[in-house]
Amino acid sequence: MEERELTERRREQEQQAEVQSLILRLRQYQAQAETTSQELIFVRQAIGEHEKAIETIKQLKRMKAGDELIVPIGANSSVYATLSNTDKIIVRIGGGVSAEKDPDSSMEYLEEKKKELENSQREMTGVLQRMEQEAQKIQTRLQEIASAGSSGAGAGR
Amino acid sequence: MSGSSEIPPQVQNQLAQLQQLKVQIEAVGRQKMQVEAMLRDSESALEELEKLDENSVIYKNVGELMIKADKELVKEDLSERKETYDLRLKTLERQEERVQKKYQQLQQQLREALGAVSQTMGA
Repeated sequence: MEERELTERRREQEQQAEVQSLILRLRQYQAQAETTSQELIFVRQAIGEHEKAIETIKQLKRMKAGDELIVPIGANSSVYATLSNTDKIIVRIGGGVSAEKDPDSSMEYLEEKKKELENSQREMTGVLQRMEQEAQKIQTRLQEIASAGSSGAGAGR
Repeated sequence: MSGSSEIPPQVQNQLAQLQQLKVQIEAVGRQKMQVEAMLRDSESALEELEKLDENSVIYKNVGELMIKADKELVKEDLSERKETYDLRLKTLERQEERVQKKYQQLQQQLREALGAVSQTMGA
């Protein structure tokens, strides 16, 4: 009788330890997923910015020096500006440095950077999916433990 | 009886230390990621500068402004920065290794201590 109680007590302790460990892992996955989702938003924004810049250069190539432009200055306001040059684009190349490039090599550079960002986006989406699957598995296991516990308690009554 | 009152004060102290070490590991990890990003940024800028013609016009970004700069001077500046980031990264890697080792040692000590506590409780 005493041995049965001891075994039962040990089993309960083991289950409690498992639940605690599962909850801890679930919280870790949730925190990681939140961080990755935030990073994914930044990457998507950066891809959008690259697409916008590429499109703007394409349009600029159709224009000529002296053409009038409307340039946004923020808060949905714009000013008139005259285009002085259509064959020089200034592109940020990293490390706090920008370089003058012709429109085609600028677009090439931006396309390359966009591809890198899209690769990161794919990787991050994959990581996020895997984390969600793992979290789902943990939640299923927790539900199993909870329902086994409640049916065990019901049987004991 | 609460769970924490069953744990000896020494073990509780070790648990607190373990949590502190975890926070430290996470902080070092974050710093490492920042330095790695700055290092990659400098490296890609240097690579791009190498591809440009000798007569290419270069600008340094200063706040919202861009100031025309000499290509060779910019390369020197970037190389120096790259070296600094490399050094900082190595220091952080060593620091991470040290803290990780401490964390594992303490974890092992705690496992043994908690094992002893549960045996005492079982008896």
